[in-house]
Amino acid sequence: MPEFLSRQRWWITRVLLLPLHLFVFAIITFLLLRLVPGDPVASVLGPNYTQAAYLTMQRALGLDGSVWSQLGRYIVEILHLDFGSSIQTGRAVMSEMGTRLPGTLELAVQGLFFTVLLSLVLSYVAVFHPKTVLARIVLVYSRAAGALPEFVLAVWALFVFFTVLHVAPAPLGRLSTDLPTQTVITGFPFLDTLIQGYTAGAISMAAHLVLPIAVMAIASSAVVIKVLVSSLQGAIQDPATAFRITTGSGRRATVLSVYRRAAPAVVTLVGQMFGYLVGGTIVLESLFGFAGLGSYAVKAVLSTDYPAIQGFLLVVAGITLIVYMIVDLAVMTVDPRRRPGSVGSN
Amino acid sequence: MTTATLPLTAARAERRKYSAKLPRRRIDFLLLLPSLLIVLLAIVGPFLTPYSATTISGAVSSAPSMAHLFGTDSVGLDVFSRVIGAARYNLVIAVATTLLCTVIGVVFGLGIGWFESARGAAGLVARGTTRLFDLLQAVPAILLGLVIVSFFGASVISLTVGMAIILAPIQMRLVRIEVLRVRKEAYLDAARMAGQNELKLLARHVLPNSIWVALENMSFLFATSILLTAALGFVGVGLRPPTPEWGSMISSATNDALTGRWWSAAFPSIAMMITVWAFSNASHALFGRIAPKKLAAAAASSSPVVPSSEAAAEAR
Amino acid sequence: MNAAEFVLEDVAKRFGSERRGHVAVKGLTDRFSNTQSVGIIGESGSGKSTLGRMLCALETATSGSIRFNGEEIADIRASKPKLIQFRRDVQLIGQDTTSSFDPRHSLRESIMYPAMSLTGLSRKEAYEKTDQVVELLGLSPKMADRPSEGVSGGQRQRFAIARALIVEPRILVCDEVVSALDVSVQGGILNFLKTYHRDREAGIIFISHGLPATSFISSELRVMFQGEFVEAGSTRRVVTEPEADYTKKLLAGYRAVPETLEAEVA
Repeated sequence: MPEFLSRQRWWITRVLLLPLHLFVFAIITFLLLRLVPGDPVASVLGPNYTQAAYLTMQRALGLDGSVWSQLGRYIVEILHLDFGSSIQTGRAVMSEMGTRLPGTLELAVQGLFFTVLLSLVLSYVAVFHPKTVLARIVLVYSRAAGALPEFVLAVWALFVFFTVLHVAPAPLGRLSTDLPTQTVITGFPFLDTLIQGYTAGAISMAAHLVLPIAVMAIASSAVVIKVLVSSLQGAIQDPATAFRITTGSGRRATVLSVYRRAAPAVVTLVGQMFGYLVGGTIVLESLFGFAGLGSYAVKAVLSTDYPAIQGFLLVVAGITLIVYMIVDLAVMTVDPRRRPGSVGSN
Repeated sequence: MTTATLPLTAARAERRKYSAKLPRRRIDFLLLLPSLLIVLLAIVGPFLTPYSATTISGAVSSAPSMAHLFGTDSVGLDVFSRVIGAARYNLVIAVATTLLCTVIGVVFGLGIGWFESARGAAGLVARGTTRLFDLLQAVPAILLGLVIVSFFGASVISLTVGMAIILAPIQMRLVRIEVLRVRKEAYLDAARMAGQNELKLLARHVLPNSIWVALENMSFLFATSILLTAALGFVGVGLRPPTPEWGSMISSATNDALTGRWWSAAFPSIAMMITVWAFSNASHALFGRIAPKKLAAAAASSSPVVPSSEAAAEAR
Repeated sequence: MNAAEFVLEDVAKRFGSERRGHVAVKGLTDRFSNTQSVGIIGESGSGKSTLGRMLCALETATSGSIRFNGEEIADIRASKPKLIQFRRDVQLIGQDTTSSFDPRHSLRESIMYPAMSLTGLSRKEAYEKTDQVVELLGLSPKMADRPSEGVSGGQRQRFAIARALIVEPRILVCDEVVSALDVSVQGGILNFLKTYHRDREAGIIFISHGLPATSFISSELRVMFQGEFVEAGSTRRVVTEPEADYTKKLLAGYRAVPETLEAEVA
């Protein structure tokens, strides 16, 4: 058993670190938010209130006592997975998250999927057929990474495809307004239509999703292509490729082996892109009229709604950290040298 | 002892004569030109534009014409004057953010990279700071910016400081990895043998050999801070209208674009893209290709909160 | 020419913590002076480079004592004037790597620096002395104005030697100085070092994994295995009548090659 533990230590410690990171994150955000000016009690009560009403409200919102006793209560709460209730709406932060988060996550995952797909195809062209016109275009485009913000692209895409060509649906939500809304099963909108076999809904939703997803894929694939191309070129230079070719592997096997060796850097980047796409989703949601985390976050921030801000920061950080962890474990599984404490790790 | 000035100039002449410095690389001014033009336009532009950027100057949503080159927006403000007027705000914010976050990132990256594997308090602080930065990065920049900027009010200073805090970890991580690499180089031991103390070592060898990643990355950060300013303006916590700013101009012009009045969104976004392009060229001219040879293929950094840095430190 | 001498007593070096750390060097007791040329030979990981770094005061011993001219290295490191004097007396030449010179400085700048900071020469004097030392090593002074990547590996290693010799040290620690170079280039450098040792009475501590180069240059040999000296004595004695099993194996390795070659030719 001890030997098993010492051999498996790399992933066990990595998994155990996650709750610790989240816990530290929660405490930091809690303390930082208390440094910020603004009195949520006064903002809930409005301009006229009595001393007694202030104290009652303060107690009701859990803002009485010293910062440290508040922190103590907060820690006990989050250990019970209770993020409190929004000061403004009174609804539990956890249930608000439950209804809004899946839509945002689904869009981010779809965006990520098509980003990766597009990057894989274009990087293949750029690296293995470098003399074609398309390859040159891809390289120029990848060098322009960051010059095209997604919301500008989105406004332009809407102008062209909705206003001028009339092929895209109006940016007023996920479903056409004339269709009945679906019942919620998992909370992930597109997944729900598929599960229920609600074909008309699925088609309408897909039509609404084409533009935002295309915008995300085009805006964020530039960075991925840049890294993918440079690590593919690095992998081609590797002696292992020469070994493959000289020992008579076919073109297919050689190309696959090059991709496999380029994988760790790219997988790591894709993990980081996920966090970036969640951020991008928040902007796109407001443009395309999707319900999601973005509007909730903006509202919470503008009204100094402590529990809501803490709640969404913690949930978003939690999801990103889980993705980072999965990416780390994946990379460490593929490439044992990346495990902590391994001799060749660097 | 003769006069004080004479030996000083003589010493300077001698220093020049026996200088052993490598020649400085030439800067390609052609690449610098577009960004200089934009800066010039931002400085003198508002004196040349036909209308004020913040007062209504004509009919609502009129198409581009001789009177209004870029048309007017949905409130009746002249788009041309606003696009030019916004250059000041956007450039000042983006340049200041880029410089500030690079300074913060370089200082932290240098300190953390150097002390990370040290024993005792310095090592603990360095490792702890890395972890804190990593945790901070788990929240998307736009969300973090939303929280920071909205709390400190939307002003040029709070936008700059807020975004610099958000973007500094990027620079920090790049510099840190370079410092970890440079730390193992043989010329550091040679410099120690030449009698340099650790502080001089950092200033003369470690900093110049590890800062280039951050300098090269400045064009990316410039673009990012322009876009982040715009995105924050887009979700509603950026500079308040009618202050001209490209992002909030595009955001408030969205409905115009959807109803076919393309000009109020088109021109600010074109201005934004040209600026990003021009400054990325400038940054390339100033800081590009200064990587030490053969070292450019610095391993792609591992994702945040990964303990691989410890392994690297232990391996030393 | 003043004398210089290292005295080592039961020196040990451990990296990392007591429980999980790694012991690089243990129980070394020895003496090296400026009249000797001592070869330290061992495979990679045997602790010879750690020993070299400790002798150069780049690393401190975990236990035991290293004294230079009667002063503890730890005391020398603690005092700035003492350290400067020590650096004038002891210099290090490392393996030729692309990183032995700062890529952002010209070779001349790197060579002038120790002359100015350690021996207090003016910029002009250091400049001219660089020319002399560079010529001594058979290089053209003009070449020194290039960056380090502008010269070949053998040339760069000569510049590295010039950087160490410009302060006229009493003891030179040479850590794998020729291991990365072509055989044709190795000979020139070894001959130079041998002559320099004889003419200037500068001690040489020659750390290497290659026996031929080491025995050519040094009159004394130490064989290092797993952090310890397993054999010490004059080069002639160690090579002809080895006592330790490890030394016998090492020598057998070198003999085996020509024998098999002869066998194949016959």
